[in-house]
Amino acid sequence: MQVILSDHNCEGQARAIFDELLYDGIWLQLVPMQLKWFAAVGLSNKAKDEEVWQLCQVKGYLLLTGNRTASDGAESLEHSIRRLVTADSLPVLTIGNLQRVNADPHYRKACAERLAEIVDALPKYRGVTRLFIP
Amino acid sequence: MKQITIMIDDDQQAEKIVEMLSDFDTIRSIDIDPLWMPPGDDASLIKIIETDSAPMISESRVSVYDVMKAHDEGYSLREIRDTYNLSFYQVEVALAYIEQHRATLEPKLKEIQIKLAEREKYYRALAAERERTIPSIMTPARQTLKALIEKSRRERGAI
Repeated sequence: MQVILSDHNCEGQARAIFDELLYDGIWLQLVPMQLKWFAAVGLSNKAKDEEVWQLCQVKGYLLLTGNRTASDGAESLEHSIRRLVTADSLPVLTIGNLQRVNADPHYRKACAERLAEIVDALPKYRGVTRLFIP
Repeated sequence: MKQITIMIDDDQQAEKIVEMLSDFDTIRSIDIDPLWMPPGDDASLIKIIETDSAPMISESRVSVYDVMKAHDEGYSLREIRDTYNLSFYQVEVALAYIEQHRATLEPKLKEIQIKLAEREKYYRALAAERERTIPSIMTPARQTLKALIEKSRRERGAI
């Protein structure tokens, strides 16, 4: 069972995408996944990007996050993953447009399809630092 | 006597509802407690933290630029709160900061948006190349998943 760890800033969107997969139960039968929140894995709402990324790598979680509007400073997720990535690292799943997940059911469905597709073929994506959803 | 709590996150709506409820004789008293405090009343609670990536909203993983972008695109305070899993107070603090620093933030936001678009393009190309060069071994379960995805795409008009 692949754990998807939702970033604190996109919990509503993560839940909405999972709801799409739960609506027709066959999705999660074919690609077993479990959604977890920061609080459930001992992370705080304001956890540093590097701490989050490291935890995901150690525990085998896939981080589902938004595309934060920020530059790539030394403490940013982008900087952390570029510095720490290995050929075996798990990718970070980045939702392209958080607003559209809430507003557009087709976009939300496309995110769910892409998530299932990625998790199903995860070994081929190891070492790719970031994958965009959808 | 029964006590009923109604949570309303819009001050103007709350006033209207209180006015309407006042007409009912059976309602003895109405108290209004604010759900969040306006910025400035307790600046120590939520603040903007300067980092080398962006000014960040404390107690969150959201940047001021996230809020600014959404606000400038016409999203309401409530929509911004819901999108980024923030409180009203956090959004208000960010908007107050944006108002005060807009001249500095605006050119930086444009620069960041260009970089983010380039980065997205790069990562999408990388993923597409991986998919092209490493085909998945077809199993019955994977075949079913593939058919399911195609059906879903057809239903939403993507193919």
